[in-house]
Amino acid sequence: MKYYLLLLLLFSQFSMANCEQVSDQCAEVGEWDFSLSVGVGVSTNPLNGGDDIPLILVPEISYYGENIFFENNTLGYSFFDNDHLIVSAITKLNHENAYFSRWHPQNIFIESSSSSLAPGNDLSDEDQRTEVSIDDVESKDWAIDAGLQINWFISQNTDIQIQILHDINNVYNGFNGQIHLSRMVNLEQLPDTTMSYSLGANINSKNLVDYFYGVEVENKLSTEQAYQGKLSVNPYFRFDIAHQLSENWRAKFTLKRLLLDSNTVDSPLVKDNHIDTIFAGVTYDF
Amino acid sequence: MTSSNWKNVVYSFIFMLTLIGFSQSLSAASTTELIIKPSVCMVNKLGDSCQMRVKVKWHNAQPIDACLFQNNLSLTCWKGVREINTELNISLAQDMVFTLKNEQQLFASQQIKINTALPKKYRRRLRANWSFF
Repeated sequence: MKYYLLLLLLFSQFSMANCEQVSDQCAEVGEWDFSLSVGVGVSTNPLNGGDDIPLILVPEISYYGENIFFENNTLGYSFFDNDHLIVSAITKLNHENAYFSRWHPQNIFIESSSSSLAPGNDLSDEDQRTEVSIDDVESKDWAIDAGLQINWFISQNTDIQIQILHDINNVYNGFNGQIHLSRMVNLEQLPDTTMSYSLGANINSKNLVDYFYGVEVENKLSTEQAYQGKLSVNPYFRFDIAHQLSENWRAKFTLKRLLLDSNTVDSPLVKDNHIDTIFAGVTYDF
Repeated sequence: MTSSNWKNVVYSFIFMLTLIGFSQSLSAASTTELIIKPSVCMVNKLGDSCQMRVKVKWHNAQPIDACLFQNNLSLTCWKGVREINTELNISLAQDMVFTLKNEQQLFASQQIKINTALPKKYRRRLRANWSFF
């Protein structure tokens, strides 16, 4: 009986991953999709001296072939695909270095509250003494990750995505992973409106946390500012709502909060224990 | 029977002949048959141009002067012909109507359709948002 149920699950005609038309969940094979969102938004930067990332224009691009797919910064090849499960090999740019990049040229000069604390500075606050700015540590490199992605379509509106990745260009020599549960809701009271909420967690290996958030004692930094990264599990939740205004225009709102693990927050580079992303705008689908 | 009665009979006879002749020409026009085969052209994907060689057959009760049109484009013309059985190369990128007509009359028409060999395929998106979303 249990084998029968297993077979039923694997070869069920009630398809979850199959699509019959273009939608928010489905793409036409062999076609490029472009969209551009214009609005106001920000992704906060949890690092001392780091700029928040402004979200004004957000382009999105995707291509889905029979097996290959490209979406924004991810390139993948799906080698197993049935009604409920898609397994893909993927490669993508690791975003961690974005927090170390300068997003506002006018903000080159960091505020005194988060400035580096060179020996000789007059400091009274113990916490301030341990703070380290991104300008006090060596610049970081962009890492390219590669690994596996598993998409499990539990029902038409609910799915789980799991990623297990390792950097392939010897930047941090470690792993990172993600587990993401997403549920989409169509509101009967609001036609042409889709709402989705997601729960998930990013898991960063010790080596990743150590490369980006670890602090080595060198030059102007004192021993108490040293920090060695540890495995971090950063949970998050996200809420999206989109309303189709016309054939090509959508209005959308996104809110996300990611809570940083204490193993990351304890780094003297980190000033916030969370990262917020908020965006409200309109999207044009080309 | 008076001469005027004879006249009426002759006129009526002529009128009837005219009527029969007219109705015959009408029925001839309406029964002109145009057959173009194949009537469907297959392309790999919608928008692709399709070239194919088709068989064109038509016949009419009386000899006619007529041309075969692809929408508004004249492909070939015939003079004083009652029936045709030939082959033509055609090219089309969308469904088109082929018409046998002359300046006075439309004899027959047929549509040639474009079909895609591969139906459109869709697949599930794998949600690769920008990392900060």
